[in-house]
Amino acid sequence: MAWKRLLFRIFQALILSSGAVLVHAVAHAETRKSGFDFMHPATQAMQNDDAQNPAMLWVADGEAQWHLQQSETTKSCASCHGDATKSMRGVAARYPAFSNTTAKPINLQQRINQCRVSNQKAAALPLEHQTLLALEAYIALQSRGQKLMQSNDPKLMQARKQGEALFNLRMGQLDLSCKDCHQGNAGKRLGGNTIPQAHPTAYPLYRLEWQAVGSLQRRLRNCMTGIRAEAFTYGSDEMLALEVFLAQRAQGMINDAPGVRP
Amino acid sequence: MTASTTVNFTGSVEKDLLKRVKIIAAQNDTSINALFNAELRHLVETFDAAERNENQNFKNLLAFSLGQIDELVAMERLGIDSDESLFLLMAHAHLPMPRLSDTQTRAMVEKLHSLPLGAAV
Repeated sequence: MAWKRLLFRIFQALILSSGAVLVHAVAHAETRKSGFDFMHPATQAMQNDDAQNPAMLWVADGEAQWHLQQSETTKSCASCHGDATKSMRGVAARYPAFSNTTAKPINLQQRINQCRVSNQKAAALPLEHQTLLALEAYIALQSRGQKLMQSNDPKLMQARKQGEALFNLRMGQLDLSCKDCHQGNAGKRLGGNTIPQAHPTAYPLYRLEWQAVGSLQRRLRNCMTGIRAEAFTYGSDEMLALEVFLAQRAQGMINDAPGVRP
Repeated sequence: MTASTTVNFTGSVEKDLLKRVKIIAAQNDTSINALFNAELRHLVETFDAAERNENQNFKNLLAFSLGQIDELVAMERLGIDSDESLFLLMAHAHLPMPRLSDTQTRAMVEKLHSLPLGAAV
């Protein structure tokens, strides 16, 4: 009967180890928090009420831009994509994605620009341009409540790895990495702020400090300036790599764009 | 009925701000003058109401907005301990966040350059 006992032990070990994996996965899921969870109830209320959320002004502008015909082709976004509430559902939750056109990862603003140039024959807008932010906010709203689901495209792997390395890299005069604050000390206070876990669930978002809507890249540049580092330029490979990694890190979390943050 | 007593005065404004306010005025079928008066009236009446109630909060927020005090002093005077509360109060008070002058920005850059560099990896 020794072999039976051995089989029982193996079976027991398998059950226990798979249970441990499951418990670990659940614990991991439960420890992730959106920046929303760290905010005052008054700021949360501002985000939750569309009539109070200032980012909805950008959304309204974005809706107008969606229907705006570009002069050369007389094509609007709606000419091809139709009703954004249907055609754009879930789209923002999948970005950044890999572009076969540029053979690089691109974010939503860059995707909008690609469409402008190739289909509307309009000029690309500078990243962080108010029109791009408005369109991004309008498209992001269509994914509100959906899980962030970045593509498993293996072509994103290199950017993910680069992004992770940058996330862990100490930089600037304060010699701090993203990880030092947002992983090791999330939830604690830094000056007058609570340090969030840096999950990009609500971009583009309205920051009370900016009194405007801005992108994740603007926020990243903000942080880099804070640690006295030379900030990566908008649209650089480094910025995209960080975006790809952060999106992967927040995989499965609920998109609450366009958000409000302090 | 009292006669309207308006006076002309000379002021200066950032070029970009003037351009943007012209657009808002045109979109709303009004004049820059009317918008300026509306904003000024809001400021004066809010300030007066706060003064009447011996409430110093608006005065402190205005001082922060004008760059006369920094955020730490503002927070101390307002009895709050987070940037978030300060920024919320600024939003509710309908006041713009402070804009640093070029001189202040240059001074900050020089101060940063004088700091020792961190050990870059």
